[in-house]
Amino acid sequence: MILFAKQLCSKSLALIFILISFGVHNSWANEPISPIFPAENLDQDKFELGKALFKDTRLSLNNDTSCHTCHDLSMGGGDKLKIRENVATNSPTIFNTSKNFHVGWRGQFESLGHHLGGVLANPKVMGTNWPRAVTSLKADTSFTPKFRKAYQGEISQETIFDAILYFETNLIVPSKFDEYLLGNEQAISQTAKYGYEKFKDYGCISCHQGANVGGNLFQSLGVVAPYMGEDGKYRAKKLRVPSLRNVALTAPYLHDGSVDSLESMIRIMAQYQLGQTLTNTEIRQIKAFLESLNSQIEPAAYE
Amino acid sequence: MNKIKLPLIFVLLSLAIMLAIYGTYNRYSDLKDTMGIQNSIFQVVELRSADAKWNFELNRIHSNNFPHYDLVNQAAKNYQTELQLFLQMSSNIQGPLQNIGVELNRLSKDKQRLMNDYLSDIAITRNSFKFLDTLLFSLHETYQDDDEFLKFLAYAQYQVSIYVALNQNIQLKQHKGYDSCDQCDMDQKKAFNKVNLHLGLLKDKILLSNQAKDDFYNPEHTLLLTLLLDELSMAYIETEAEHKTIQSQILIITTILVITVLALLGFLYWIYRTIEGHRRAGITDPLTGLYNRKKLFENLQPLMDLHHKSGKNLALLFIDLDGFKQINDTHGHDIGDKLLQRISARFNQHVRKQDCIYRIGGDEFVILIKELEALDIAEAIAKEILTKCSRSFKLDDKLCDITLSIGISLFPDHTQTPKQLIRYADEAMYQAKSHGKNQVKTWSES
Ligand code: HEC
Ligand code: HEC
Repeated sequence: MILFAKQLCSKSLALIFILISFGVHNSWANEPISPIFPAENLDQDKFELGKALFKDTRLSLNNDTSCHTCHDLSMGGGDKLKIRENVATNSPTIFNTSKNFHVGWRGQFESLGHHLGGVLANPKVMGTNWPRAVTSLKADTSFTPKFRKAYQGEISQETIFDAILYFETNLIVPSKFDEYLLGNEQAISQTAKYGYEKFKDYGCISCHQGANVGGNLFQSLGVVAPYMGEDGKYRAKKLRVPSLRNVALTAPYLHDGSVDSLESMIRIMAQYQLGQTLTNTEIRQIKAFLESLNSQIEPAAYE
Repeated sequence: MNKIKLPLIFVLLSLAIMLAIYGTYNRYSDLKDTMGIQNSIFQVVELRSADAKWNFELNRIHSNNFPHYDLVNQAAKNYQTELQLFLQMSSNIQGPLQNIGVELNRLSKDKQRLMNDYLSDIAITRNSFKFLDTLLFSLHETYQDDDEFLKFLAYAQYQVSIYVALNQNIQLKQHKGYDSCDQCDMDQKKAFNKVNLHLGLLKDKILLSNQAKDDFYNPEHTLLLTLLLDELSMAYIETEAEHKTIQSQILIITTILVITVLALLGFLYWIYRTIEGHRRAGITDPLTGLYNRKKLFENLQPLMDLHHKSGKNLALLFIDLDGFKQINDTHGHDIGDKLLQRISARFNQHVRKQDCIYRIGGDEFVILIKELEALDIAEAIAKEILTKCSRSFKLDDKLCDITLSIGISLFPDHTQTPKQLIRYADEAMYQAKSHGKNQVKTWSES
């Protein structure tokens, strides 16, 4: 019984701390967008191994596709295509995905792990033949030491899976705008700052907000007026509001990739989600703000 | 008696021990793990705090200008993790708890879905507020000199305030509305319609988001959590009590077990002591298992006393094997020993239960025939033994023939002393030998 009481005490203490910590605020806590930080204590060996596997076509059914095919790290983590054949939607960015709530356009996957399992098993995307993939990776002498270093063990389905998951979970790359949020006034242009104010004033922020400027809320396009698309083929669905980080790099837009330019995307959003008509200046300002959200990817780091 | 009953007692005792051990084991394995329940209780406490945190975040969203849905989602995720932990921990707790766990899982999935709807609805509500706010502000700028239209704008502004209050579940008094604007120009008419349209939309949105909120704060869910805690505490108390009774039961079973083992050990010791005692006292003959000469002398006097009291006769049969030495010489000592054993067995078959057989020398035996009415019964028994033993013995594929000479003496007719009784029987036996062996002679004064 004494043990019981002791444990109860420590638990309630912890609870009190949690409650106290609610009161503590950071300088950016009043902003609807919170900054992101690169992963701490990154296991570089595991991360690099995950990246190598991310680009390895041997994990696909016909040895012709890798994650990198659709999530090109040099193209903002997307593929610049409307919709690739075999899949139903536009390829979203791979950067900062672990900051999203649920995974996929419709948030149909609970976690990155669930999603990765699905993608690797799906013959329309990767369709990994595990025995073959493991054998051919074992035959590749460059991989064995990497696995030994990162996992102190053999190449296996579990370690391959874990390395990729580790890579995508920790692929967090902050932007200029994060620097601005953290107090560096010079980090973004004056236009971008106006854009941010407009973004908040018009209410884009009520859907695109949080750490990933989106990715944490379910909405459909066409709140104020039904949106049919430029060609009348758009079908509104309840979607996880997409993250706008790297949005300037990942045209075309929307889940069906039906909008080509960021300017028209901003105009459509204002019109159908907010019932507002924006001037060209405002659009340019918001665009500058969105561009400041691009992850500062050092090209060398993702070769 | 020893030969049959001893193993039986052994089997019974070991059965009892096995039963006791099995019983103890069975009770122990039946024991529910109170530690497990205790952990589950802690987990429910964690779960409740996770739930409270989740609701706290949602409430903050409702009143905050710049909501961070990340925090709500984080809290929801955290709640799910705690729930999974709880379900794992309580998976081995049977009964009603299990059902509550499953139900809770289902309800919290619903709750998650409702939360998403709720968050979506308040996001849109906020948009509508924002939209009307900017719209009314710009109309104010444009029509600041038009008193009639400003009245409408003031009304609209008040209407927005009503909705802000409604969003917090506070009802404000309604004013008479403007359903038309007669003096309006085209632009004003457009603006008038737009404002009214959005006021209508806003009202719908607020009602929706309040509805979603009510749905989300599902009282069933909260009730279930409380119920769970109650059930767990009850289960804990019950198991603790059960634990106690089982402990006392185990104590009893263990005591029985110890007593049984002690009894068994005592019994074994007793058997050991008796056998050992016999051996030490040297009253049995190791080859045939019959009593020996010493025992005969021990027994004889008390027996005589007994017969003296009852007035009955006691006959002593002195038996000597004829030509045993030859058998030993021709067939070897092994066969000789075996023959002695077989003859002893035949004696045993043909004497009455109460009579005793002694091996008093190499090939000399004595049989005491008790409680005799008359001498001829003893003679009859002796003759019977004689004929029975004259049948060949088959020893290791060899046929051996042996005859006996038997001398009989009688108490109290012949003598009153043990020594004399034996001597007389011995003498009678010698007579039988000298008369050609293989016969019975009763002692007589000659
Ligand atoms: C054929 C093209 C293709 C390939 C190959 C591919 N993906 Fe994707 N990926 C997509 C599409 C399309 C989506 C959107 C899916 C949806 O929402 O239903 C997506 C979504 C994702 C997401 C979720 C992003 C978010 O914000 O929700 C992650 C993470 C991801 N992919 C990782 C990977 C990994 C890791 C691999 C390699 C194992 C991979 N993808 C291979 C096309 C691809
Ligand atoms: C009511 C919620 C809501 C509001 C308000 C909103 N959006 Fe969106 N936004 C969405 C949804 C939902 C999508 C995804 C639609 C789809 O893919 O079909 C989206 C998609 C986008 C995209 C395309 C992202 C991509 O990767 O394809 C951009 C850019 C965008 N919004 C910008 C804005 C801007 C700028 C504003 C303010 C003028 C705004 N949004 C206001 C919900 C909203």
